Amino acid sequence: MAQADEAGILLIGNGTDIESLDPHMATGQPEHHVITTLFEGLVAPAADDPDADAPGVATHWQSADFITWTFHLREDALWSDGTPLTSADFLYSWQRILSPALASDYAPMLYLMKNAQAYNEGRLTDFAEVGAIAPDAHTLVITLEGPAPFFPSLLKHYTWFPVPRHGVEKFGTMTQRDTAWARPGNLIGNGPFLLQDWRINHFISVTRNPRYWDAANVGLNGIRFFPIDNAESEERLFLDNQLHVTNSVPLAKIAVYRRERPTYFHQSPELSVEFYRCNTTRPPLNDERVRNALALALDRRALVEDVIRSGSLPATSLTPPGSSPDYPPLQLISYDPEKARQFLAQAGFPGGRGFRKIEILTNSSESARTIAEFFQESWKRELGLEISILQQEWQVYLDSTRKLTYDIARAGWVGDYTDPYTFLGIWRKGDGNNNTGWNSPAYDALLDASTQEAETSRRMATLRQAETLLMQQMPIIPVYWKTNSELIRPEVENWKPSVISHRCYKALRLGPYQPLPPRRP
Amino acid sequence: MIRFLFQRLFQGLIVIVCVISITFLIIRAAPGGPFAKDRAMPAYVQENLERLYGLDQPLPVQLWRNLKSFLTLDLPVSYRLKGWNVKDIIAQAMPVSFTVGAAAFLIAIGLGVPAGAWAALRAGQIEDRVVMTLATLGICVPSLVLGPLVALVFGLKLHWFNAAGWYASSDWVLPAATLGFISASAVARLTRGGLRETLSQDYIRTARAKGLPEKLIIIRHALRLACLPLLNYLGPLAAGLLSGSFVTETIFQLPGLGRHFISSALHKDFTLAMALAAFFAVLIVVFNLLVDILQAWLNPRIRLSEK
Repeated sequence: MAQADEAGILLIGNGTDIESLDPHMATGQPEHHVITTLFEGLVAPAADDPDADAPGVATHWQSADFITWTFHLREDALWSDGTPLTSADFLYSWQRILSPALASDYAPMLYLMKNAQAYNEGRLTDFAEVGAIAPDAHTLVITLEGPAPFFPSLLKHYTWFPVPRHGVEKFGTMTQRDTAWARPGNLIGNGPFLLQDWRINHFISVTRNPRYWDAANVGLNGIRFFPIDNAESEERLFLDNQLHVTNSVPLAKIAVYRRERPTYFHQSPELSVEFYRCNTTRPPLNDERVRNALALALDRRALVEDVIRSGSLPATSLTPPGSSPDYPPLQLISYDPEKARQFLAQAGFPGGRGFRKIEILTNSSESARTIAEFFQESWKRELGLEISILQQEWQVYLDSTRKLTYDIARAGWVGDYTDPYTFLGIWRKGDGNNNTGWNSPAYDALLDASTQEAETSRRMATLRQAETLLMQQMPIIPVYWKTNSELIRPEVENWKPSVISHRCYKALRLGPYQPLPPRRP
Repeated sequence: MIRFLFQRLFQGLIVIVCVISITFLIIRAAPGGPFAKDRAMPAYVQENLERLYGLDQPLPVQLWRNLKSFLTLDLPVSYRLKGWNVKDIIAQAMPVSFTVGAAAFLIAIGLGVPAGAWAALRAGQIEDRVVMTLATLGICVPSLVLGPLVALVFGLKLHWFNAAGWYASSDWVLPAATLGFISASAVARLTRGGLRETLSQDYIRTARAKGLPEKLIIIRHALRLACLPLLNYLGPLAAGLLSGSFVTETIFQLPGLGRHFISSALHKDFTLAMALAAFFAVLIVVFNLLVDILQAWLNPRIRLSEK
């Protein structure tokens, strides 16, 4: 540890193993953490608040109507092999990720751009019709489907990052999957760091990129990411001086750490919600009174404080705090067993009589089961309902959710960008993530109205209306808003919390080695 | 002998083909696909993916394509680790698992055989009871309990070794000791059983009657035959240890094969799962063959050519 501190190498626990470092193939948060060291988009996370927007490859940008955006690229931007980085690289990259032949999982992240969806679905074959043009080598003009004031923050997502044409096509064609271009020795990036080594299930190491435009302000000499998906193992490594920052903290120990280790235990809100889907195609869950009864009979405060104890917040609606400064969380649901019983009686099941036994579906994790058991117990006690629990392996559980072969299913959603739309957009009719069988023309109309509204307060008011409607019909039952917990060594400087796990790596510094405080106070 | 070897190798090849086929069919029969994510993907993209990887073809065609690529050693890419050939993945993880597995295997024999022999010679006495209690404990305590305990005591408390990781040259010790102790328990019980039975045989009585020294009787005559049941166990044990252990690798954060076994199945990474199953089958075939040869050498009553 002392050696790593002296060498300026930061050691980070990074959750599950990484699947790909190709920004167009990657899908997860661990990938996001590494890719943002190797590549940089037009916009970058700001040093003092990573959720705020700072110049990346673009030095500045403007938009009059939030539909047409002009980005001015810096002239000193280079790929890590010294090739100049220009607007053509961005066009190439967006064409690549949107190409149906590449079949990129996260291509829908670009659908805000005009005609991007049509091109990705193969309905449009001329990329020139997609809303991105490059008037010159250092200017990009992007046209969106509708006004989106939050657009720059979306550009911090790796799906919008540039990839080097000469680097990609050295190992295959533009749309060829599974080539080796994003492996060590081959990968050419434009971020503050260079890919040094990648050992599967072992570590990924990156070193300082001397050709990065802001290399003078990069504080670390390198970073090592360790794939550790077991929180107990990760904690042991941290206490054994092998990690500076962990990705998680064992759930059972969070309360103890919070009480006894405030110097290196850190918690911050995440833009992430845990909720339950109701299959609204199946009686009795097709009755919104039943769904409301279920939602009202849950004492979420007791759940987060006595059962989960991770510092998460009881949800009072769907969209978590932090989605936008103009969109504070709505207070729409509470714990009201009396009203819940009334709703159930109105639906024709007084005291739960005549209600068929329903099943909660979860993935096979210990914590998912614990929460499901809390629900089972609450609904039995408050409403007199018989509930069973079914756990399935992740892939099987996804399949059941998609095919609507469940009654009530556990789910989670993590925001892709800082705007409530990232939580509300998925409940549209026909959205691939809806998976509840529910839809409402009024709801879809409100969402459509919000995408045509450029003025922030009016736009947020429309989204509030939509969320209120969603919570009246309750196809989904929000449970809690997640909090991120991590252990951070005292010598790590400038590590800032972010609701969507953005990090400004170049601002990080390592101070002189300090031993961890003794384990028992 | 040569004929026997060829026969067994041919049988082994059939076993490996069967293992690949069965793995493929099981994993295809399970719900969910390799490209399913918790976020929806457009139907068009999904179809494209299936066409690209040939998943839209009839099952026998898919099976044949996979078998062909394995048999011609032109291995496919992993479905999950994009851009990585399964060969590269196994090549990266194999040295780790082999190091830990070989050390654990040596610990299992070095600890288990003498302990078992000692217990057999002191049958019914206090030494026997102590050894057998320890052995039973070793069999009963799973590695997911023993592993963290070992890491806690020797890593975090005594600081003799790193609690986890694969960086220092001594990082093999704790995982190998964990696996080795557990396997040594079974080895000790088998050695004790085999030796006890052999010692009651007529030819041992004859040897004793001849006046041979007890040490010579045990080492030259008894142990040799007593090892036979143990040898049958050691073949699969070696294959199992060398191919890595998911639990131990997770606890000690080793980048070995064991974790790929589980994660490839969970992620429906067909190609990697098949490659690992085939790899494990090869190890089993090879070690069973070795065991057969060793048995013939130890026991003159088994003649390979007669089989």
